[in-house]
Amino acid sequence: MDTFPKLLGQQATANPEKAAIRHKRLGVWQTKSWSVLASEVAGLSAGMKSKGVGPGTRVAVIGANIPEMFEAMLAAQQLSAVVVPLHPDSSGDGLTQTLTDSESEIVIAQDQQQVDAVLEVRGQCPALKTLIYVNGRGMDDYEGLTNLADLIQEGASAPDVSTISGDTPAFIFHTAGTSGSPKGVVLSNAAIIERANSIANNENITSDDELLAFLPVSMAASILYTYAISLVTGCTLSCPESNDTVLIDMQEIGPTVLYAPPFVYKDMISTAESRIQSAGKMKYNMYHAALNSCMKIEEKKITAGTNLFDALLYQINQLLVFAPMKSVNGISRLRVALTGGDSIAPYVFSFFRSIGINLKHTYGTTETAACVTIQEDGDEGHNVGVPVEGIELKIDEGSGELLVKGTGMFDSYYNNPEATASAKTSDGWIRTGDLAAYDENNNLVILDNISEVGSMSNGAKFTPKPIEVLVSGSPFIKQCVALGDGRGEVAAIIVMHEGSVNTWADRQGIRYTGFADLVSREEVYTLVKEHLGEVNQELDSSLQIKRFVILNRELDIANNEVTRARSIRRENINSQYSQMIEALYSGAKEYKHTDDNREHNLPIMSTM
Amino acid sequence: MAEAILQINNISLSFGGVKAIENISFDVKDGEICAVVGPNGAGKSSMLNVINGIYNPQEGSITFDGTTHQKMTTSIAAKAGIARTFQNIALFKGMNVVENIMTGRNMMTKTSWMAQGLNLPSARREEAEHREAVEKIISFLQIEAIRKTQAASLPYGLQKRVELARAIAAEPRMLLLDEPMAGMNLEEKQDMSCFILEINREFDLTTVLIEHDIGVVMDISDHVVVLDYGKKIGDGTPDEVVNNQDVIDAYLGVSHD
Repeated sequence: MDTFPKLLGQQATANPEKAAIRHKRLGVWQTKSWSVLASEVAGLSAGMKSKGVGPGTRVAVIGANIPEMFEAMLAAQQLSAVVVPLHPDSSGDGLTQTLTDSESEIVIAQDQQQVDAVLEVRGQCPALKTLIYVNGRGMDDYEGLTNLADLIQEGASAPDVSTISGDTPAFIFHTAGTSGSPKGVVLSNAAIIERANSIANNENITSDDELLAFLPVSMAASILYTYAISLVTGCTLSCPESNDTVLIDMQEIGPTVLYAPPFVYKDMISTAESRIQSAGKMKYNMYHAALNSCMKIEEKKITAGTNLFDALLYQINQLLVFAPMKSVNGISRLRVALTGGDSIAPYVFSFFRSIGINLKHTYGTTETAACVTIQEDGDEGHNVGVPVEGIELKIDEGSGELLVKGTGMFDSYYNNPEATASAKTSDGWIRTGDLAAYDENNNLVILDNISEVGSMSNGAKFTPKPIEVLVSGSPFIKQCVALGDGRGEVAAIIVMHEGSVNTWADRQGIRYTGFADLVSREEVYTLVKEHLGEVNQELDSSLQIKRFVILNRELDIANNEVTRARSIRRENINSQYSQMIEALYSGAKEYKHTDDNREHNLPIMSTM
Repeated sequence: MAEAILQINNISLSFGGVKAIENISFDVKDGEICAVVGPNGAGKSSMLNVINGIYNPQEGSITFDGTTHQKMTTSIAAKAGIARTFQNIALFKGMNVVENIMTGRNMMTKTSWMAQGLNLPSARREEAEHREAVEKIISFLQIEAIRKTQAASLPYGLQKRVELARAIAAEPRMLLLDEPMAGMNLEEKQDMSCFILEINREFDLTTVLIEHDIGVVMDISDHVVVLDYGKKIGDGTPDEVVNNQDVIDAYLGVSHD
């Protein structure tokens, strides 16, 4: 089966009564079986055809993970149309860019928020003809829109999909790019399906597994690990009730397979830490004792090997401490835990392995269908693993850039032959833009994005990512921006994790008026300094952090300081914080930071 | 023109020698949002308390839905379909959000306490129906994430929203909101304004609200009544009211002599 419409037909025949998709409505989980899903999609597809959707039509979808969005994708693909998934929050210039770049003719928007965003830019999108909405609340006096439900032609039979070939484009994903304007990556049906099959085989994902869709559909990885895996294996995909209820929904569903970017896993640790900080003293001590002992046992697994006593202690800790904690977080049944898209701190890895979750790193770019390597089971190293089925890797000898070849590579950047040509080598390898190496066990290690590698004034190579990953290993630190390109030494801008640092301060009896006040306190600076001291021991002497400042707020997506996946947009940070950076290198003791027209004194501290 | 669902006829209310309300009359039309505004101590809350029978005025009468009441009581008001929220939140603090909203359905319970106590099928069925109605309101007010959270542990703005949910759970004919936006920040005020407007449209629910921040109510009200020192000094559309010299004087603090 090489197309999504064929897979739907297959599941509806093979598993007609099995749950395909689940959504919580009015507090109750509503389930649709594969046969119901297939007949609804057929009805929608007939309606979309009447709106002019046909082979190659670009259909943009903008909204959260709700069944209607997935049904619309399937219906469009039944008509050989191409789906352009957009981030539910996209608006303004970003939305205009993606809609015009993909020349989307139809937009399917979830509710008033998305409809308003599209209406605002409609004038700048000449290709856009039809706007369809799912939830009409608050839009009584809007004109010229179509309700998705009205499009469904009940009882319509599915179009003949047997003639659709696997290389028919299925999706156009827009790469966020930490710099430059987004490019539309065209991926075919077969590209994503082949990859989903490799992952399913690798991780033994079957129709009995449970998935929860909570990442924005605009990410290729989100589509791969929900939509594609569910259609390939026939397992159930659950959609959260709303964005705010993901944690509750996770507890209720208990997903067995989960893919999430590193920051999601890191947030779980910070949340756990902040909850345990506010629990009683006994629980707090028990949690940390259990965590320490399990982390040591995990370490021994690599170095010395474990004995019977270790195994027993490990099991007792799991049973008494981590089982309840996992249950609260909805990860008790988690069998396959994957992460990717950014580097992850060693601490985060050790944490999840210590609580008995086999967290594994994956690597892939949107152009390579989101996943080309997965770590092997039981691999304790900090690498991204080995290539999945059908993938070849090569590291360019001159530049050190990772090159990828194999099945499931992207077709082109939409309407951008120049960019397409420069992303591929003359002999058909795809350039990833990432600096990579192999470790002693022949596992792939991603060092940094080539464009982010700089050099220090003494000529040494400056790679910010590995430093930042180590620094953000503390549950109290949310993010770190390492500076050093063209400088003699490394400095850092630190962003604290509000929840865990607040509870920590409460426990320490520190009085503060708010987050901005707290993170400028000496106690917090000392906490960070101690952590940076530990981090420095693991870094080459030229890359050790010498001075740091704590930012009084989080890095902002709206302000283009980070991407939606929380990757740092270095150029923007360098320009927006240029004065702060100068202060860090001037030897000043503090920096007057103006934010929202208010001045804050941010201390600058040396790590020595 | 829609007909008046509520008529306030020459109401005067005094506590001992203090006159809280002096000979006030106004109409509230079916389906409109009517704001009663005025500075602190103008008699706004007293007016609301008169409408749903907490205070009994010495003079005047109230006509609600065609029936004139010389003496309104809370029980008559509740049965006639007047629901309200309070300035100082009056949720059941130990109960969770769903339970709090379910109490709003109390008046509509048909099965006997005996059937409920024995958990008979009829009582279970009825509870399921009420629960579904409550879930629709939870979805409408976007409070799914706090469904099972204890009311006391919620931040102020959300408690206000839960109280609103409980009031509309009673499926009232008219909603009285006592300073629904007091103590909120700008964003919370905007959210609350949107919810009040949407409730008014979606459930076609006549709403009388009290607010001392005149700016907030101008955008969402169809009709504004301005009180000052227990007297009515303005009554009309928001535009008419803001251009009324008496209202301008009251808000700018011209001395009363």
